[in-house]
Amino acid sequence: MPDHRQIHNGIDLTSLRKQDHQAFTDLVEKYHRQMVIVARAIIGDSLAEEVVQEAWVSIYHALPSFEGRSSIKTWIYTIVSNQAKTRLRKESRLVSMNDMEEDIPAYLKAERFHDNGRWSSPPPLWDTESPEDMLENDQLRQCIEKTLELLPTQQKSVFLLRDIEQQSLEEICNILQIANSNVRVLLHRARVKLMQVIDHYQETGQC
Amino acid sequence: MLKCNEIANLASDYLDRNLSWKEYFSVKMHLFMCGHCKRFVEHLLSTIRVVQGMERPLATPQETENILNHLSDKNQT
Repeated sequence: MPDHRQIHNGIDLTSLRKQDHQAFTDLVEKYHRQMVIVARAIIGDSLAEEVVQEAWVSIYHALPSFEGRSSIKTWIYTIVSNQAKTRLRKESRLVSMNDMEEDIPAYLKAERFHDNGRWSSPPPLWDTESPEDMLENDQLRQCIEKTLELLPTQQKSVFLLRDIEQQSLEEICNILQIANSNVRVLLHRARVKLMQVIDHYQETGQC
Repeated sequence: MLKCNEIANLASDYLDRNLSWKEYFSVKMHLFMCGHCKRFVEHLLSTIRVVQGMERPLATPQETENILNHLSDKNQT
């Protein structure tokens, strides 16, 4: 019998639509951590886990009607985002998630430049610029993981959705309810901070 | 003519092609003449590639089990 299963990025959509236990477990394993990051950016730390737990129930029940108009991950992130926003309204409290004023990476600060706008402390040379070589370095990977973990909530969430999940800026604005210009600022800050870690590691051999 | 501090702020928009044609061309011109900024943009791109090449963190067995248990509780009520 021919196999008509639809598989995208290692996700078996046919089994998922049938609410297959193993396919759903794999989906949870793959996306749960990321969903918590997204929920935290909308509703804050204390309620994020609870919102995500409820979002998984909604996802499970909605799977048979998933039409595939968007990718499964965009669909999942939209569901968790909607649940977080609904919960936020119910809680009727202000969660201050504004990362915009804090945390400007050193590279983007005025001290790094002369008054005429030129670098006073230019980017240092790296021993290797090859991503493949850098990925083979366990210690460097750990430094990057630690930095990612410590990014402010919104920066982390924007970076995840854009650079790891390859969502469009428009989708990210919808998911996180952040203006396009702010999404771009947050993304750039997150990337530059990660770059600073590599700078530092290449210079000192430490995080 | 754009300055280095402006390039440092526009680098992600440049890599993501989120600039107007005119801005994009101005950045390109600057990078053609400024080794420091060229290095900054190249390092930023390498950084993105490195993180993209890292493994995604998976949920722990305990986290996954909690979700599945919660789901089966909900289905029974």
